[in-house]
Amino acid sequence: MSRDDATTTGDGQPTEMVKVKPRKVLVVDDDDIIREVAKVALEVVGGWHVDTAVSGDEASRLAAVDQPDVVLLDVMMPALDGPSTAALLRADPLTRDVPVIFLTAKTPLTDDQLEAVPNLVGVITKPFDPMDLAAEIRRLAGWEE
Amino acid sequence: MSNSQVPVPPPERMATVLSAIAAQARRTNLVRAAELRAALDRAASEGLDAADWAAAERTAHQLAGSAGTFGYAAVSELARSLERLLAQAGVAEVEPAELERAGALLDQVGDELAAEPDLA
Repeated sequence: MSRDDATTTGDGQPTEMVKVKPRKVLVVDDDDIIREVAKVALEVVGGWHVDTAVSGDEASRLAAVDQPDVVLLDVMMPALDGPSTAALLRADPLTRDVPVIFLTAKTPLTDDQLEAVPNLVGVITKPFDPMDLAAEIRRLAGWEE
Repeated sequence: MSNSQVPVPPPERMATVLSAIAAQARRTNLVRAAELRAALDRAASEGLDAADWAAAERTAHQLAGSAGTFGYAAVSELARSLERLLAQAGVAEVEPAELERAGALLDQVGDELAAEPDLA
């Protein structure tokens, strides 16, 4: 059952509505346009709550406070890149278990880059289709429909 | 905090909203192409330092990442080629032929961005 579905009895009749909070996604990208389109796409298509961060430093601060269900993380950013940001999240007890999905226009990533992020659950390649982004995240994160 | 204050549109307005973002992305990418042109011109006339090459590479990277998302797949591929070329330029002596090749790629980027996006 989805987090947003009603509970049903054996014959499929709804018995109660399960009120749950929407998923929280943190989108981290230094490109304003990518952040904006990802936010809109995930809020409208996915129905999720989306925070955005422009840098790895901001992402680590935000993630510790907001506890996102997944971090969508650009690989190539100035200062702190995606793998370094993932390492920062991993080093913080508050965010160490948050799943990470890399977002990259630069493929392929090296094995070393992938292995350095134990909680990496997938990679999404830019360009991406905004209408498919939520479904792709749901699939990679293993969230039920 | 950069959490952009984008109001959440109703689902039926998604296409309109994406279209507006795509128009903004096109303008942004035209500016990026102009910035790359200026960088190549400066490289030809006075040379660029490592930081300038890195900035140009990042601009090409952003162009590659966003253009394809908004219906300019060819621009994305061209910008990726340009990004690779600029990355090499940042660590080695740049031959005039390489600058010409980068300029030609940028010409193609400009031609593609002048056309309507393929948002199918």
